[in-house]
Amino acid sequence: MTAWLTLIVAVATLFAGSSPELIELFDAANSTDMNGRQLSVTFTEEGTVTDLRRVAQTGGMAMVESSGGATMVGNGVLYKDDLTAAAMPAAAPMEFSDRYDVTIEPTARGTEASIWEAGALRARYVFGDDGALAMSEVFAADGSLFRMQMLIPDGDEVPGFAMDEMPEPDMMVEASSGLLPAMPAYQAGPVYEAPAGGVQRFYTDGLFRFSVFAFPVRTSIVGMEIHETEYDGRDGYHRSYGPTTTSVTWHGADHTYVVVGDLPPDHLAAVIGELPRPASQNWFARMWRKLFG
Amino acid sequence: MIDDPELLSAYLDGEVTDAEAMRIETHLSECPDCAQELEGLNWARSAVRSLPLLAPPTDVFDAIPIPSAQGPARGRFLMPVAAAVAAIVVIGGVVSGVVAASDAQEIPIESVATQHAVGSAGQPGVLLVSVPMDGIGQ
Repeated sequence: MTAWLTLIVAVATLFAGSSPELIELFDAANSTDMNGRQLSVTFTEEGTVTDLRRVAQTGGMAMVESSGGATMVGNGVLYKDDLTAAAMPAAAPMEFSDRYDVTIEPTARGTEASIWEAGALRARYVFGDDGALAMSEVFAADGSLFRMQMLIPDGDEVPGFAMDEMPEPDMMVEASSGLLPAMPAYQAGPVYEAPAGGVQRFYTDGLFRFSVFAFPVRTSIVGMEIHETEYDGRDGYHRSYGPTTTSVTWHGADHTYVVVGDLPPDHLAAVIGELPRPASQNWFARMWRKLFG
Repeated sequence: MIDDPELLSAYLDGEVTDAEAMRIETHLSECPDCAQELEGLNWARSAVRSLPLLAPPTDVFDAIPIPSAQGPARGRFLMPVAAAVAAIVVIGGVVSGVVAASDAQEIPIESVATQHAVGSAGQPGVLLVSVPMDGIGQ
């Protein structure tokens, strides 16, 4: 009898599409106090990108410290260095996509939640006994590990956050623009104003998150190391891998576009395929060749 | 509107994939502006290609200066004209470059990353994983 019970408990629970159990695990992880370091590693064709930074979490707020300062997030608000704060207007949380299946099972490492896409393992979360997220992994389409994040606890003492000293957040302002399209595989938020006359739209499928920005065409994105690359056989794209996000920017015919998010490579390529393409640098030369044969 | 004018040109020349062609044709059926642009491109290409090839008059070759060691007088006369044209082209290029540079603006990736992180902060997920911190505060 005991053996049967053990077997029943050990069998992974399969949830198709939206998984309230997974959301509960996320909520528990966010409400757990913790203090430690976060190791992030992203494996790309251009090399491995690693990052180790101090993190802390209490009262539903998480703080990340880097050499450039501290960033705190929670309750839909982002604070930078105690000086500025920004938030999107409250909106209904987006749903977990039906294209994912979720299995949750207890293992020697903790509670493991595996997310499957078309039968292939796409991501895995490991939650510790205290509910905190111990590890997350994201896999590329070929099954190789694309990104790994590990939380390394560093004692029980959790710093308090002086929330009453935080500034009031600036609410992002909605913009009326038809530049940024809906994408069938993702839920999209409203279009918001972005710096320098640009617009932004946020997308998610519940597992991955990204934003698309459109700026006036002569805008250049600076401050990141970029590599020229091509998508769908077309060049003109500039890509930069960070430890937790990938940024791709290019100049279209009328606008400069930026995609930034945590998408694995195949999802990123599909998203870019939905957007306007880079304008050819030698369009007149090409037209001349076309016209005169 | 189709954002990339090269795409229409490539479509006209049959240099797009079947999926792209289907997407363009769907768009053309709904967008009169793009349909008109495609028609214009097609007309221009056909018009230029239909122009007859003409033989130049024989005396045109006599008008072309033949370079020599001493340099013919006609060549010396044309030299300043060519130099002036070249100077105009260079100056025009510099001026247009300056104008273009004055229009250009730079945006640090930090502000882009921050605005994306604000969007992530309001969505379900584990905060320390789902809210990206790359480039923020750097």
